[in-house]
Amino acid sequence: MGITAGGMIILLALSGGLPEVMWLGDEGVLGSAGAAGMGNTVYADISPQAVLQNPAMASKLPEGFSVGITGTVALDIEKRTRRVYDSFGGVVGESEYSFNQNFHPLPGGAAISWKTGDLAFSAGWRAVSTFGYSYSRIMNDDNYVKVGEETLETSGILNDFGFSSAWRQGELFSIGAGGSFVTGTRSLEQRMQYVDPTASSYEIELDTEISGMVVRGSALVNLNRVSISGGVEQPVGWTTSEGSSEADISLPMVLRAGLRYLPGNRLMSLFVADFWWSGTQAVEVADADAGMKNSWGFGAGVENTLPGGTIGRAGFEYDSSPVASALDRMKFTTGLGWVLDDITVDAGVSFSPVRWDQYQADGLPTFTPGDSLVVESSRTAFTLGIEKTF
Amino acid sequence: MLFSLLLASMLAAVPPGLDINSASYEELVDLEGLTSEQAVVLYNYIQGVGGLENIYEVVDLPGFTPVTLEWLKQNVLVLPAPQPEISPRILDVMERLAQEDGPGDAAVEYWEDLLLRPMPVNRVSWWDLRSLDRVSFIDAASVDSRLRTLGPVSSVSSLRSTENLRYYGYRNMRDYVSTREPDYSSTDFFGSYRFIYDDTEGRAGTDDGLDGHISEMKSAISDIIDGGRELSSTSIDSLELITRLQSEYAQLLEARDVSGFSHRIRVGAGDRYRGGVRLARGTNSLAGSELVAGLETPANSRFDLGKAYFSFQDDGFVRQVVAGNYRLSLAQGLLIDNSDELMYRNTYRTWGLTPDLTSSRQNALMGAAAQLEAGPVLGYAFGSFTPRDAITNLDGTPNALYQGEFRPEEYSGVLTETTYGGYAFYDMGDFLPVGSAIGIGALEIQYSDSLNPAVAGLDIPNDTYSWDCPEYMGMPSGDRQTYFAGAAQTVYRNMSAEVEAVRQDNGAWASITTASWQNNWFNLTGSYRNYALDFMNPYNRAFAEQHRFDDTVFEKPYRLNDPLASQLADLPVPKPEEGLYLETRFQVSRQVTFTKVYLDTWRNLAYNTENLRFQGEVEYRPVWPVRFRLKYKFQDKFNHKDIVPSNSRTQEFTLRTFSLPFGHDYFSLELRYGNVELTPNPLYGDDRNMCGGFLATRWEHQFTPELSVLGGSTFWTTNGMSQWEFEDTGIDFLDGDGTKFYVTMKNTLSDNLQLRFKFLRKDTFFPHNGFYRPDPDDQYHYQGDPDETVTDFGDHITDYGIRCQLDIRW
Repeated sequence: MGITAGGMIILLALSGGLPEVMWLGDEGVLGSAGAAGMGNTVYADISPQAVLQNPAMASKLPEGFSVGITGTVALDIEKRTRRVYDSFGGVVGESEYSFNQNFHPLPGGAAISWKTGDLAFSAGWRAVSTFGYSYSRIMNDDNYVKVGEETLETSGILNDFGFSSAWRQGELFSIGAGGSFVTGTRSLEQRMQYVDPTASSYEIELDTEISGMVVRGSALVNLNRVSISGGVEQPVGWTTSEGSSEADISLPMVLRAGLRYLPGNRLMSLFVADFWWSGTQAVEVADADAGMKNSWGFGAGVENTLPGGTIGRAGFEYDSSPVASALDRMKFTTGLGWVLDDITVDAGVSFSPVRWDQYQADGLPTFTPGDSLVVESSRTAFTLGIEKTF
Repeated sequence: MLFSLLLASMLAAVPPGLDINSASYEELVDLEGLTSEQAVVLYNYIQGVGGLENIYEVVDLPGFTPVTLEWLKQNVLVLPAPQPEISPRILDVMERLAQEDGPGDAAVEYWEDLLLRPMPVNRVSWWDLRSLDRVSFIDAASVDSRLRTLGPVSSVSSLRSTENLRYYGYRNMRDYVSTREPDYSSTDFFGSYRFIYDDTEGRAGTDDGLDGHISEMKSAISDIIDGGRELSSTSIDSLELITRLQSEYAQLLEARDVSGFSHRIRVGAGDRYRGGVRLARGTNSLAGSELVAGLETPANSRFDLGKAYFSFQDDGFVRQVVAGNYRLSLAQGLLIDNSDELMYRNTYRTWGLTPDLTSSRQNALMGAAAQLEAGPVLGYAFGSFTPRDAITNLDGTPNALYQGEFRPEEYSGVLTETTYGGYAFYDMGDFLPVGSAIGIGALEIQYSDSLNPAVAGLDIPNDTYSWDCPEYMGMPSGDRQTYFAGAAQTVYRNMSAEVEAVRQDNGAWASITTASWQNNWFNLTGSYRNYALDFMNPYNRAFAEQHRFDDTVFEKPYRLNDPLASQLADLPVPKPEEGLYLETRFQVSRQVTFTKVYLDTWRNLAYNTENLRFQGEVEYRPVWPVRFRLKYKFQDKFNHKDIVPSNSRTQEFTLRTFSLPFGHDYFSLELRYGNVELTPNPLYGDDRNMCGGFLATRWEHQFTPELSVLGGSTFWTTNGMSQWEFEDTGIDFLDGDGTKFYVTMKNTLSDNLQLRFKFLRKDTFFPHNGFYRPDPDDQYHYQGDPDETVTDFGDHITDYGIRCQLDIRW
């Protein structure tokens, strides 16, 4: 979530109870597919993409050139239910009200790294956040006659073009620095079409440009079987614009830490964990307090080389929301990996259920005033990645 | 010592050379026979697997040739990698204990400590051994007797031949005891950290789950606002009541998205000092569940349970002192057992004082407790000062102590409790059979505010139900209760007898007598209990068939002014009852065993109604890897009603199979069918006969001893009779029709690190048909939309559960 999440805060005006994608965007695959299968532990990942996030970790990359590429498809399922009451106000049960299912192919990232001796460099592109969401429903009157149709579609991507460098001081210590230029667009299209020609049908289209930079620094300490890294990242010069209007966004520093532990057993097990914290309470949009709270998250995962050579992974991730605790997100992840000479193929699956209440919001999507809906949604994401060392 | 000698002789025998298992990266790079690329590959491999078992493993590494192998054979050594400090068997036991839940929590932590630093068996007494998992009183007394008569043992396996000690008892004892001598001068530092994220308990769809309470609260508020309750003619201030219910309703809604966390740290120094801290937040925790009420910090709202202890072992006559949170369970639990859970029909209980970092809250004791031993006298003394939850009257006064999962601000920490007491036992093992003892105890409970159990605050006035709950009328009032207890026990050969009686200051008595006879093939336990209606000790966890408020108005939240008061039904105190319980286990042959057969006949003393429950289970094991178990349960229960008592007859059939089809696989299947027949009553309509059942399968595959994956799936259908099922880490409630599956991964990465991940999906369907109603003013409708009618739909609830547990030891 972190920095790129904050970039969407300008959209909070539209956020009265809408899915997370409407303001934060869905976080992309920031590291390798292997890390995606281990609780999305990017800060403990050793891959060309992940070292853009944690520059010091580049010192643990293999010698020579390494290339990594990832891609993702996500299945979003959203169920909205309404409670059914009898005339005495007693709850009879819940009736499914609308059901949205979207299948998004999403870009992941691609990066190249070069390590020689104590120096390592990396550069690449990552889709750090995406905005794919669609919603539609048919509106009926009391007699179940269709009176209109509503559709909502958002799309867009936030691109991160980054570089990093690392310097190793012996086996014990490494430091790294890097930065990114972030740019992207979020498009929103809403259409309300009434059957009655006298009713006011309408259509809204909104494009938001987002841009900014991020400066990063980190350090890595190797202690026998344990590697610990810590670092900071500072967003700089973030702005959003819609047509001729433009607003600055002030985003706070993010603190990150990662851990790798190689216990040394016949499964060649690897345990990884990472943690981040951001003082998002200080977020300001156009010099106005965005009303957020501080946020944090962690991930943990494990990797085992199974008999036969296949690598099995599992992990867990928890991210607190800077907006509301109801939007705190947990993910259960799993994955497989295969090593074919100097090519590594990894696949990761993550599943994230979330339930939230939708309240009256001006605009999107509409429902009967005073009503409230419980929305249950889930995202299942499949990530595939390939790495090759030259 | 033996290992050191072997290692020394090995080192003396091998030619000089570099041990590549312990070589640094630079040392491998400097080897003439390896290229730098091969050195990198070899170093990473050794780090990954923890060390080569033999030099021939290198031929499987990329870039290694027979020439390389030959050079390595001539020039380097492969010394054995250091062995784990904890044996795999101990890790297996730890893994099993990690799945334990409920009242065993405190003991589980104690047992985990003993696995790493076992009890010195030559110094133990019967009361020490009674603290162990599934070691009976007779088992404990037998070992104590053997040690007193024949002296110390040189190995734990010597206990195997102890007269009257069952193999089952020996097997459960052997991992927790050793012949080592405690070293009180040692300050070796050790400890562990456990983190749990748990969102699997939040299955909100059940009647007493969060959604059930939200639904009941919403109905109550609507009912009062719509004038459905004629409060104007009563003393109840309807505005005040609605304000309270709306506040609780808002807290319940907020709790819907709260997941559970737990951090637990335990440390120790040598054999003398122990300490620990637990910080946790429960799943679906309410606003009233702050760690410290009223404190405005983020951490305070993030955690709702904080526990800590420091303990000190063995110095003179002081066997143990615990400062902080502790758990105490003595005799048969009639006077003192401060667990938050009452287990039905449980004849086995652990004995003793242990530090407490469990999830128990309402009955947690915080203060200091000591176990003292002087000659033949064993004594326990304790004191505690803690906040307590209580149902409150509308004027804010505490009505009755309650223990509920959902703690609104209006109920939580409304009074403080000061508790102190003691129990002393005189060991008569020097002149009577070892294990014989008598004891006396006392318990005093004081509250900061007087309890005022007033029906007027709970009962909905002018409704169609008349309040009739003798169990509630016996709830304590005032600000003080005192209890005195007496206990006696003895063991003769393979027979034991125990009795405990407690008198409350209101003159009410409770007593329980238990006798057992056991050998390796047969055991028989009989228990007689009599708990008077007016006897109400909040720390009573003695044998019981029912909770105090089972089958009462508190199971019907729609009959209470405040539906959340229905949580009083969870009070873990036995119902006033008198009964005789008989239980046996009988191994007929290697193939056939009656694993558990019991009969309980009891009288509900609140209404003097007679009840009966029988269960029989037989196991058939045609070959070692396959077992079949058939279980039958019958219960005949009478419930008091105003005119005609109602009667329910429950029958349940369960068939289970367990098999080990392959070397590393475990498979089980369970099929259950149950039905309930009720006395014809117009209120039940077509539900005079209810039934339900399920089919559950489990399969566990062990990739290696360190990694296993368990998957389970259940299909169920019910028609009024909901079902309970044991999942891998707890009990699940099955209602409606549905399916579920779960996957659990268990991974022991090293002595220091263990992981468990669990993912669950559960789908429950409640069909709702035939909602057409001719009266236009009596239609089903959507929330906030009375004009939009609903005639037919299916209710589908999907629950996801994720649980993550991490254990670190050092």
